[in-house]
Amino acid sequence: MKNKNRLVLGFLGASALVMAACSSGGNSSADTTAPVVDTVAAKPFEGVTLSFGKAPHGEDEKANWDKWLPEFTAQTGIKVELTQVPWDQLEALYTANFASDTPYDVTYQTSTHLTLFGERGAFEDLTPRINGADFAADLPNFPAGVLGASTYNGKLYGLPFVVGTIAMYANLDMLKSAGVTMPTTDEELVAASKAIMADQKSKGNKDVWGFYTPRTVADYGWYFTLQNVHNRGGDFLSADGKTALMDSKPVEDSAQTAVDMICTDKVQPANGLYNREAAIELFKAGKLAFILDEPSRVKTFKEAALPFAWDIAMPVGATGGKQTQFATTGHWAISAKSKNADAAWEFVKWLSSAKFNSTYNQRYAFVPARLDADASGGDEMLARNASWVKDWDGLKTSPKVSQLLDEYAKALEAATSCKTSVADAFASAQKGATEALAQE
Amino acid sequence: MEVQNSTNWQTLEMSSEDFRKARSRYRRRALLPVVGFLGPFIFLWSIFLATPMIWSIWLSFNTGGLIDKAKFVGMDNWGRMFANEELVKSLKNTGIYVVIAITVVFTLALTLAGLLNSNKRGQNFFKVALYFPLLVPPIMAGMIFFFLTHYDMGIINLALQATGHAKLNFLGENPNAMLTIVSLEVWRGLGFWVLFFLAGLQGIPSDLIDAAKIDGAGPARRFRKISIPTLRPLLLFAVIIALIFNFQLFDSVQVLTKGGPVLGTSSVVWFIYKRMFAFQDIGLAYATSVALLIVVVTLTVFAYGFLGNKSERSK
Repeated sequence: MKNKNRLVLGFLGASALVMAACSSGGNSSADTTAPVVDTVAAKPFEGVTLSFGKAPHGEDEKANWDKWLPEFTAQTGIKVELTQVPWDQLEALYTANFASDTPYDVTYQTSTHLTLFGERGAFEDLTPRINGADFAADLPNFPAGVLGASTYNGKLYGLPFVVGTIAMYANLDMLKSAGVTMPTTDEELVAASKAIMADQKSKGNKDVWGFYTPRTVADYGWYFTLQNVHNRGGDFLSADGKTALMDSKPVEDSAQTAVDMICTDKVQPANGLYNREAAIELFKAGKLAFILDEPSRVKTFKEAALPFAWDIAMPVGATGGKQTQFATTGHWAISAKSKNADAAWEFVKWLSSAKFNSTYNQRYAFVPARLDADASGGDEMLARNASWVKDWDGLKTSPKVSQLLDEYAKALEAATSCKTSVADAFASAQKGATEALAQE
Repeated sequence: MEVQNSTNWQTLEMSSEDFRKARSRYRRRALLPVVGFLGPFIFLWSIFLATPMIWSIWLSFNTGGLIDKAKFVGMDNWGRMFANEELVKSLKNTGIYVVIAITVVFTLALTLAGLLNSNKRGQNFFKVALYFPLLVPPIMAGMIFFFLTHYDMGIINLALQATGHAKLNFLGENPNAMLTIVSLEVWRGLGFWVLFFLAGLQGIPSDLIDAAKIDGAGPARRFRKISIPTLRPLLLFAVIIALIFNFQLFDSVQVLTKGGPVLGTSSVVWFIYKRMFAFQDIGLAYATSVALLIVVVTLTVFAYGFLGNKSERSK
């Protein structure tokens, strides 16, 4: 394959030389050179090498990029060198990288980091590029809500690629055995969990839990919980992004529901007994009725052939409130210091294309950020997950959002420890968040 | 003979100008090895320690300065630092950790070193066995403890369950989480300190021990009255090194708890790491780093003054 590419490149290079020689010689051989001119013009970035940094969504991602990238190189002549950035070192490595004179040309950024780095000058504002003629056909495919959530102060530091969603995985055998249906509200979830635990206990299965979702800072409790705030019509930050609302009623009510599940109803294990991965194993072992996690688990659960019937549902809504989807958005960002910004834009366009978006998300099961991409690949569950995006009320990016989410997550963790009241925990979060927002 | 001497003295006579040149030549000759030996170190020290330290101090009075340009804000970061409740909590956690970890590891290390020193049989095996955990990368060590303390599969909870005891929530409750981190760090550091103290014990003159034996002193008394006072200069060094290292608690927090539960294991370096990278609050991160440096230097001076004076008195 490599040799074939070299042959093609060699041929094109030789053609270009011939064409240059002809034109400099004043030879009017337009008829014979025209197709070659077109071919060469289609690859204005031939020979450019881009550096590309991305945290992986799966263990096989590096191998998949090795399969995907040659297509882009063949189309454009641009070579891409991928560096996998581990999630747990991402902020430190990106800080060092963006502070250097040779940052990655293109990176994958979530809403928590997009403006954190973007507002400090790390990324190019892509607004002029997405409004350019070369993107005119693509732009209408990006929902205004998704672009809006990723825009800060009129600047778009990254082109949305995936929209995160959360799915509730349910053990259907347990539901059937306990005679309960799929819950759609908090109250129904608690009632169903209690019924399932009682049913399993009566059958001798004492170690079965009703529900699990991370509530700790370490497991990004905010990521799996904030839809409950939106379901109650609130948010942790005002619409203009200037006022913290950590001690508002919707925030405290949703936290109280989480606290009750652990401390009063005891349908969820106490914090620390199982982290996110351990809880997934608990579900796979048939010891957990409901668990919230990313839709990427659909593939892994199917591959693992779980020994019970299971399904996904939209995370429950608030009783008397809404039922929304929450998560972050993934973007492609171009470094402001990139020496190959135009080539990087070519790459971002290719990454964001409907074709590549479908390919990527059929493997990693995120919802594409553009409407004309299909991530389900015929999988009914994933198609259903994608349909929930109409109720998406995801994280709006802002430079302080990481710090605010940390304050929220610390309060949630403190309250769900059953040792601190919701009011005290979120009053402390309000103080911390207000100080963070006041800081320049 | 006299003529010969006289000739020599005449040869040594030199003008003040020649003397100055000779003195300068001598100084250059004497200085050359000093520069040769110390130069590379001073060069590297300047680049990798002094410059970053000065830069850190400067950035502690600014905002930004890594990705974006630094902007001078005076004492603002220092004011915010003193008012930050999370930092106060992290400092308290780190202080508790340092006291418990150093006390436990030194007590265990001195005891084991004393046992190894008095029992030569199998000494090499135990030296390697005790040192082995230090060779395990910190992330791996964290993972070992994660599985050791797992609620369902962890060997400790399985043992507790088998003996009729309730299982423990090691990483989800305070102070269990901090004690788990102390155990991990003690396990990792024990081998080093055992070898360190064993080397010191083996350096104690045997005639001192023999004389004490003749006078009827038992092993415990010999250890207390001879070994410990003789080891005091070594202990001084050990305390200083242990203070410096333990105040930098980070790896196990990062792997096991991420500062939780409810900030119960948040250390000062963890606090700095979050401010520096996750929040890009560069000024506060640098102000805290410089403050941590001042705390460690102060404690080092204090330890030196306390144990150093005792060492002098014991001579």
